[in-house]
Order: sequence, then structure tokens, then C-alpha cells
Amino acid sequence: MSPLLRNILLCLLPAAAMGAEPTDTLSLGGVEVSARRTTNPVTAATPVQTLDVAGLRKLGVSDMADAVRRFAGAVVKDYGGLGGLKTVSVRNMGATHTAVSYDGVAMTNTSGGQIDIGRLSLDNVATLSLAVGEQTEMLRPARLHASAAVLAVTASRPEFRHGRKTALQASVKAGAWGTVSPWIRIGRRIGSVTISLDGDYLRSDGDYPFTIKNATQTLRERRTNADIESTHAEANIYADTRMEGTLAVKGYFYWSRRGLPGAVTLYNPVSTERLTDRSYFVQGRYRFAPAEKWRVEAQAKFASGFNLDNEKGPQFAGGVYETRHTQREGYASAAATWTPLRGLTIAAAQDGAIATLTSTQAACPNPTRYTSISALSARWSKGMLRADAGVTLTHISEHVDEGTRPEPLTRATPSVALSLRPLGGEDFFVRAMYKRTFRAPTFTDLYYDRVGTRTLRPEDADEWGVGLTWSRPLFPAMEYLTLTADAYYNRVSNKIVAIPTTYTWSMVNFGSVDIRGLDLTAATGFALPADIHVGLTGAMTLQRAIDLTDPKAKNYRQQLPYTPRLSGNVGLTVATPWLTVGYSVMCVGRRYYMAQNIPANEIGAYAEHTLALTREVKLRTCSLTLRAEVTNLGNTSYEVIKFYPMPGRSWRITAQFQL
Amino acid sequence: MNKKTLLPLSCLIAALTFTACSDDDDNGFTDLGSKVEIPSGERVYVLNQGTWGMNNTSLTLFSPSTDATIENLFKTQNGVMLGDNAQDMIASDGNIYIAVNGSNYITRLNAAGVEQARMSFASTPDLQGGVRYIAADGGYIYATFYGGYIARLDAKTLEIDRTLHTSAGNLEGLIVKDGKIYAANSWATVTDPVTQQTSYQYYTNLVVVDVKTFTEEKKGVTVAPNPNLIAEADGKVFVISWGNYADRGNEFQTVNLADGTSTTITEAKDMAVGNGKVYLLKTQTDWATMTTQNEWLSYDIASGRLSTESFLKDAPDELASEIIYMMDVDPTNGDIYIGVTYYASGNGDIYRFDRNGRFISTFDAGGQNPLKAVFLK
Repeated sequence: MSPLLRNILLCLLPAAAMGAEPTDTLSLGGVEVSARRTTNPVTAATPVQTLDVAGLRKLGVSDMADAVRRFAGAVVKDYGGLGGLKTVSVRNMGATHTAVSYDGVAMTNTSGGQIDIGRLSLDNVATLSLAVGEQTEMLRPARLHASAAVLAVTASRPEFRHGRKTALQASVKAGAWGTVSPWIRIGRRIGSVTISLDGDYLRSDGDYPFTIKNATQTLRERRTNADIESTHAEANIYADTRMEGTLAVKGYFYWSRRGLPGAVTLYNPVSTERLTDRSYFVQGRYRFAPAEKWRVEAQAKFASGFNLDNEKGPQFAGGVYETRHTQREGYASAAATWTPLRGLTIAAAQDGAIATLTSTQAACPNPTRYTSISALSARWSKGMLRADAGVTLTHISEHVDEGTRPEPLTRATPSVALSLRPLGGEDFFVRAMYKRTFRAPTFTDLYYDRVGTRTLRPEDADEWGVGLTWSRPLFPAMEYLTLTADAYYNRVSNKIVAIPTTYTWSMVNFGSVDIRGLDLTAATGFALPADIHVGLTGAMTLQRAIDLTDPKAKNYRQQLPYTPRLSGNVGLTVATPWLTVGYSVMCVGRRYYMAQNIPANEIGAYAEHTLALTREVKLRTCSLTLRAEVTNLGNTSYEVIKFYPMPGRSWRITAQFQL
Repeated sequence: MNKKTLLPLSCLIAALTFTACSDDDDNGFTDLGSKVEIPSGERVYVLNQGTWGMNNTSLTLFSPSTDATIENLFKTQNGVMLGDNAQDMIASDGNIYIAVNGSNYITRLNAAGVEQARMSFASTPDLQGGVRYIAADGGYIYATFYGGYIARLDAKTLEIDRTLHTSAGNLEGLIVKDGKIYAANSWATVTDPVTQQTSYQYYTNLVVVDVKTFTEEKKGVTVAPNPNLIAEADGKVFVISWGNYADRGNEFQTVNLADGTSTTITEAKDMAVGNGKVYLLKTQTDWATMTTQNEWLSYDIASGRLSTESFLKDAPDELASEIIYMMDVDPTNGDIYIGVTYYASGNGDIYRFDRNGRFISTFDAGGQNPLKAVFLK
């Protein structure tokens, strides 16, 4: 019998039947005492928030969008359902200003600019981190220096329990509206090398009922053409090498087929648009310390994404309209840090990327983009002061098969950050930051048939921020208390927007927005008698984001669409030896879904409650985790994006087995 | 007829008599079922297209005699929204007809905006491309659809009487004249079966349909690429084509129906007929300064002369550079209504001028993208 099979049987069969020791049989019904929740780092000179995904699961958080919207200052535009687009905008600068990294390597979408975080599974994620301005880690690729904010997704690795060399995890989730999602991970340790294979599958009918108001009438309908089927597979190799080196190689594959239900259209439920996606990438990341004061990182990645958009209707010749898009990117990065003096670290990074797009869409000139990003930064720490400064130099040039190509773009963008610890040994920090970034026009902005404009300039973003952080337990039963408060002012100018012209819409640099806000976070934990642990987290954002484009316009100085003045969330976890109870509530204030702030354009406030019960059963050397969740406990009818109704109350059960 | 039958019938006749004797009976329309008091005198109905996907099409009623507006008239009277992305509105026999493209239906309203009948095309596969423009003639409403279809509906019940699949790609504006329908064959998406490359094909004709036989005639009318707007006045027909987005721009043309030809007169994006003229909007955007420049031309129908002198004599300065979404002429007094759009940024504005182009007043359109005005007096 192979060790793997033996271990599985050991877990599944009654322990007594296997002739196990009596002490082992008594271990049934144990509970996992969760490790201290990952709290936001208080020492960072720029606002960084971190979420521990294991903890989130106990709150009933099941997907990436639901997790990310718990960050203070993050707005997830969610078009509803499992298949709906979900993008993240940090402090209202727009989704294209937020970079997303997966295990330290940036994910890109040169065509559309924004990353659909709905396509990332939480199943194999360990932590999520959102950094505004600069990340704390200095040794990173230049691309991550160049963004206004970075959402860092870190995958979990196989856990080899009890000295085993093989690890197995598997789970199956089942939920409302025909949702089923099995997941499996197999890990193997060979010397200093770890290999893991992950795979998950998801299918859902997505035909959830929703309630929507039509003036005085309340309509109760079902989403149609909202089904999704997807498969995701990953292979990872982690190796420890000489010179404190680590090598991580990842192969990733994603396929999906889904309906695009679009906005709910009154009196017309017809929806025929379908999307098929097929993407893969291979990335490698190698870090090592060639000398005492040096650390070096090299990255390489090749990514390919294909999608087929299909829509039926008599308005299309032949009754069908299909477009195929393929984008590919080759990317390499080298970075190093050097610590010449105690307290001084200098970092440099150089990235190069070649991105292409081919499309069957009319007039696509099959563009190729060449990008070079250089980053130089320094950190100086002395006593109670830490200072960071950096500059990023970006050069972009393009080639097109037809028509004029955009002028090459070269731009330098600076950043500075300060962190002060004024009260000696107290974990109390004052921080301040400034960063200037830009986002280059996407292929869609430049080349989309009849709409794209090849003379577009980049969209600029300036971020200023000051913050206070404090961390200290106040009494013995309190395990930790962390509080952060960050006030910020952002200015986005030369915004790339579509405006109407004589003939059609056109992309132009036009307008600016002014964003002022305050992000507050709190996290605390208590150890109570009877081995009960309580965790409490909260985040709140106050924001005033106004349009300053045109003093004569009716929306001048009015709050931007989909921007509540107040939003926040609270999560409570009570872990007992028998059961872990998680409860969370997400509150979003009233917003406007159009630019003009008039009552007709208002969307009401909402609060969404989630309850989760988790029980972990230890079976000899394995564990079985059972979880039941009810989301939108109050069956609240709400929309994140107008006319994309969100599901009402729904349930989900998960069974996870770990060897 | 026995007494039992006679009594309810008498009541019905009395009720109908009362209905017919409502305020505006003398003008041939009724306000039966109105929930709001509508100012007496002439009425101007402004259709706000709204923004695609936002279900915010709306109807505003403007009273020129009092300068009062009633916003969201349809919603107020019927308790529901008009729906998504209206495309056209006409007034006929005291009724208002609205074609709502996104929601894909036609509705008939009485003069107070109270819905009388509705026909949805959402469940008719041939007509799911969406209703575009409508015209009334001989007790019927004629409607064009994307996908090349023309439908004929009973003007009272809106029941579909006939549908015809023409040789066209996507149909836009139409008129009914002398027993024939003339409809603009605008464009279509085309996919190369080998390369799968998609492209746009811009057509250069009006399809002609015989009303009596409801069949397409072989001979169409040749016009400039991508015809969109079509109008008739004083026995003549005018077309604006929107070009191919490359070497051909907007073209205003006069049409000779007899030989099926057209003559380009000038560049123009929009037109309105009235006062013996075709009022034309010529508009250009300067990308260096990000400003739009409008020119207000007029074409004298009787003489066939184009005047480049602005037909607006004392227009507010801002109108020279705003995005114009609507031009319509009140047939009863010649007043000219011009609608300005700010797209999704805010409600549009309506500017009113007299027949001589003298500025009278401006008012908030009550919704986004004011598209069309019709008049009842």
C-alpha cells in the first residue's frame, strides 16, 4: 500500500478498526485554534492592509471580490453573480491604477487595463494584501513600483503534517442555484523541493432570483444567461537553493464558459451574449543573496489569454456576431537590494515586457507594445525615523500593422514616504506619503474600432496621505489590538474617458477628479476561558470624491458615481473547542449611479450580513472541516452596479479534507 | 335589446361621453386617467432617451403658455418607467407613440401620457434586433427594426398586422408617402467566413416597400453611405447619411423618388423640417481645443437654396459649442426646439426659439439625452 493511500484510509476508517492507540481515538472532535489573525502592519510607511484568507473563510467569505471589498478604501465593482466582472479600485483612482500580483509577479491586461479579480479562486490563497503607494518589500519588480496601489495575492502552499512527504487537500462546495465546486491539491516534498498540483472546477446555473423596483412596482424575476462553468489548474514548484535562495515556478491554466446577462432591461429579458475564456501563464521567480549585503530577484513570465465573444440576434449578419481576441505577453524582471550601511538600503529593478493583441474585431491593427520600467529606491532607518524615496522611469513604444502608431512615451514618477515612531518602544507610528503614478492608455483606449484614439496621453494620479497606526494589547485577555487611521488626498487628471463626437464616441484625455478620504481599520482578539478565542475586525471609509472637469457641467463638484460617502464592515469570529462562529456585515451608504447627484440617480444604502459555522474534526492524523454559510442573511435586495442585481439570501456548504 | 342589456350599455355610453368631453376634446385628444393636472393650451412632449442600460428613458411635458414642465410624465401616470433607450416618438390622431429600443416595445399614450396599448417585441425572434423608428399612416403604425425588418401594427391596439424581412441590414428612419414606405438601410456587421474578421458594411440605399402588398420593391433609392434620418415636407424627401467613419462624413441630401437618386447638398448631422425650411445642424469637434463648433444652416424647400447664415439669431453663446441631440419644429407656430445633451453627466437642456430664430427660453429636459419633441394643440 502506498503511503498516500494508507494515510487516506487511516483518516477515513474508524480509528479503532485500524487498531490504533486509544489516545488517538480520543482526538476526534478536536478544534483548530486559529492562529492570531494577520493584522495590518503598523510599521509600514505606506498604508498596507493584510487579510488572512483562512480567517476570512471562517467569516463566510468565499470569493475574491467578497474578500477584497473588506479592505478600507477599496471599491469592488461587482456586476453580480459568479460570472460577473469584478474589478477593484483603490481610493477611487480607477481599476486601471491598481496592479494585481500573484505570488509576487504582476498580472496584466494590456488590452483592457483592469484585472477581473472574480477569476481568481480563494481556494488556494493564503493572504491578500493591499498596499497604497509603495509596498513594504523593497525587493520587487519595477512594475509593482509603478502602480498607485498593489493588490498582492499570495498562494497557500501544501502543508506537510506529521513529517509526511505527501500532502493532500480536497474540498467540495455546494450552494444555491446549482453551484458545485470541487477542489483538490496534491503536494510532494522531495528534499528541498516541493511540488504541488491544484485543480478546481466550478459550475453554477447562476439563475438567482432578484427583486428590482420599476417605479412603484416591485418586480421579482430571475437572472437569465448567467450560468458559468470554469476550470482552473495550477502546478507549483518551490525549491530552496544555495545562497539563501528560493525558486518558485508556477504554471497556471484557466478556462471558462459563461453567459453575460448584462444589465436588467425593463420589459426585455432577452440576453444571448456568451464568453469563452482560455488563458495560461508560466512564471518563475528566483531570489537569492549573492553576498552579505545583497539580495537579488529575477522573474520571468509568459502569459497568453484568448477569449471568444459570441452574441446572437437578427441584427447581426448571419444571426451571429463573434469576435476573438488573443493577447500575449513576455515579461522579465531583475531586481536587487544593497545595504551599504546599517539602516540604509538601496533597491533597483529593471523590467522589460512585450505585449501583443490580435483580434478579429473590425480594424484591429494587431498592436505590439514594448515596455521598459526602471525603478530606483532607497530606505533609510535611524532611531525613530524611517524614510523611503524612489523614482520610476517608464518607456513605452508600440508597433501597429496598420495606421499611425502612438508616439513613444517616457515618463519619470517619484514617490516618498516617511514613518516616525515618536513614543519610543510604543508601537505607535506616524506616517506620510506622496506618490505620482500614471496609467498608460490600453489597447482598447487606443485602437478600439471607431472609438480608440492613438494620440492619447497617460492618465495621471497623485496621491498624498498621512496616517497613524498603533498596536498594543490593553489587558491580559486581549491578545492584540491594532488601530490604523489614514487620511488621503488624490488627484486624477488627464482622465481617459469616452466622449461623444460628431460621428461617434471617442477616447480622449479629459477632466479630473479630486478625492479626499479617511480610512480607519481596527482589529482585536481576546483569549477567554474554556479555550474560547474571539476576533473582531472592522474597517471604515469616509470619502468625498468629486468631479472637477467642467465648471459649467451639471455634475461639477458632485460626488462620483458609485462612491458612498461612508462604507465599512465588521467581522466577528468566536472560536470554541466545538464550533467556530463567524459573522460579518458589510455596510455601504447611499450612492449615485450617474454623475448628476439628483434623487433620480440615487441608489439606496444597504447592509449585507453573513453567518458561517465551521467545525473541524480531527481524524487521527487528518482533519475534516465542515462549514455552512448563509450570505445575505437579511435577504436584502441591493445592487453594487445599477441594474446588476446581487443575489438575495443564499446558502453554501463546504467539506474540506486535509491529510 | 332588453332592459338588462340596455342599462349597462347606457352607462357605458354615458361614461364614454364624459370621457370624450374632457378638457381637450375640442382638440381631438383626451386626458382620461390623468393623475396630474395638465396646463391648458399647447403641449410639447420631450422624449429623453436616457443612457443605454440604465432604464431611464423618460417623458417630459412642457407647456409653452405657462413655461411649466412636468417631468417623468409616463412614470407619474402609469406607475412604471418607460424603460431603456427610447429611439423615436410621434404624435398621431391625438395619441403619442413611443418606440423604446432597449426595452423593445412600442407604446400608445393618450395626451396625458396614460398608456393605452403596448406591443412588446421581446418574444418575437425576428424582431429581437430592436425597434428603431416609427411612422403613422392610414390607421397603422409602421416600425423599422435592426435586422432589416419592417412591421405594421394596428394604430389603436398595436397588434402586429404584418412583418416583412427586407434586403436591408439594419433599418433606421422611415417615412410613408404615396402608398410606399421608404426606410433607411444603414449598416450591418459582417464576418468573413474564412478569416472570421468582422467589419462594418455601410449601405447606400433606401428600401422601398409597397404598402398595399407589403412587399419590397426591387428598385430602391440610392443615397450616400449609412442613411439614418429621413424626412418629408412640402412633397419633398430629405435624407441625412452618417457616412462610413472614414472618407465620407455626414451628408444632407435631397431625394428624387421618381428616378431613385439623391443629391448631396451639404454636410449636416441633424435636421428638422418646418416653416418651409429644412433646418440643419453642422457640427465639428476641434481636438486641439476639445471644443465643438455648431453651425446652423437652413435649406429653403421651395427655392432649393441653402443658406449658411445661422437660422438662430440670438442664441445663447453656449449653444455654439454644446452637443446637440434634438431639433424639432412645432408645426402649429413654427417654434424651434433644440435639445442639448450632456450624456451621462446630467439632464439635457431644451432651448426654444420662435420661427424667426429669436431665443425665447430654456428649460431642463428632465432626463438625459433629449431625443425628440412632438406637439399637440
